[in-house]
Amino acid sequence: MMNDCIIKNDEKIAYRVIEDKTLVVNLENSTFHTLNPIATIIWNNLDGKTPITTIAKNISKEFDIDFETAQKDCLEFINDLIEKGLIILCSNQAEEIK
Amino acid sequence: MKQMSLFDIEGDNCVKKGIPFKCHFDLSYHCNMKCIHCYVLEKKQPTLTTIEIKDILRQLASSGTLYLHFSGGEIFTRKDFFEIADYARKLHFALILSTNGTLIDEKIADKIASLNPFKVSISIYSSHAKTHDSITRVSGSFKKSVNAIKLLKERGLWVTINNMVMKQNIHDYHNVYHLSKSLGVNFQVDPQITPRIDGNKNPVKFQINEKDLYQVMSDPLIIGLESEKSENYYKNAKHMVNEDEVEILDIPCMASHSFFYISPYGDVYPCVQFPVSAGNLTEKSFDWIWNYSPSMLNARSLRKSKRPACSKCENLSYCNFCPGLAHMESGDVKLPYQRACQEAEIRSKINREKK
Repeated sequence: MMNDCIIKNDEKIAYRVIEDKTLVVNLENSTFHTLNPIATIIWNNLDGKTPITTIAKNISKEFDIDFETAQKDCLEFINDLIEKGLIILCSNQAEEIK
Repeated sequence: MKQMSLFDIEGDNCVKKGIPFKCHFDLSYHCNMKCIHCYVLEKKQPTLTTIEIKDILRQLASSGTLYLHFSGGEIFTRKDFFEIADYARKLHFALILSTNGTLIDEKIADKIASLNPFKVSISIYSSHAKTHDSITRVSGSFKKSVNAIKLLKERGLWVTINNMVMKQNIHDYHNVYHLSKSLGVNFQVDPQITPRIDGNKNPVKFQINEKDLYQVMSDPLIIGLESEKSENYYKNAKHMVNEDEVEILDIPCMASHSFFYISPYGDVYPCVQFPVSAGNLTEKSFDWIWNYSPSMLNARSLRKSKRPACSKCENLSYCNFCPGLAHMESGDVKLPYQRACQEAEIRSKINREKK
């Protein structure tokens, strides 16, 4: 799963990165989400090309935290975004990431 | 239930940071109806081209605009509307569409649904076709507009009936409310008829009188708990907030702070009701107009507390003063205007009656 890529659910969302935060609107149910600066870095990397493991490595380097912690945080955040319908797994396995 | 706007939540943050968060973009003043109270004036000059609009949208996206409200005129009279709207969605805007609905058939409704707009607003003036059509001055328009609402609702879109209340239809807004409920869509009443964008006051003659305005503003059906929440917020806010937020409470409205307007000719105004051009997008960049245009900076410098003529008014805390309407009425953005004074007095009266 860590090698899967993620894409934003562009058809169903509107979003804007404003400085270091991201505002996301789920157009299906009009729920609103504000992403903090770390979440925004992860969000910016959800380009359908970068595997989750690379994103976790980048976060680990940027914030000087161990890879395991970065990986756990990334997975939690990505699961949350999938649950909210804001992103889609590129692979056909859209079940919860373990 | 789709009721809130992200603008309500993030609006203050955008004001503090100077982010142009919400744009009202009239794509054309051309319309297939001839509403008696219409505020637009179609000019003979060319409207923005598809290429120019796409360039503007790219600039807005990079400046932080999230909400893009396409209006007019009638947006579907533009043959390139879906090309523009598709492009806007590719740039991740949240679209709000205002339309009279009369050009929407099954095929157009499908295309609108594929845009996933945040909201579609359709004007209905009466529950009676005859009254509605007499305001739009197009026979059969009521039937087409209601049909459009049904088509969009069937496709799961968030639709709002916008009921502009004027002398011709003041006694019917309860029925329009019930129509909205029967159609399963939202309802919004608007008693604000404004002068035409060139300052012509002809539309204002259709405005309801003070007695009827009181009836609308005090009607629990329309206002419900929302006014109470809002009033409590503004009454208590100064005791709860920090210095930055007190400064925000002193701003008359979001126009020029996080909200702005673009005309079909490329002129940028602080608001459609504040038609003082800050620059034209065919000549200047949006960044320059937003951050450096003297007109925009002047609008942004306006404060409620800097209106000497109003500072001792006992209804000041109930006043929703609009600098644009003040400008259109007297040419001075700081002078009181009749409608604002009437509305403030009514709010004050409603508050006294509650006690």
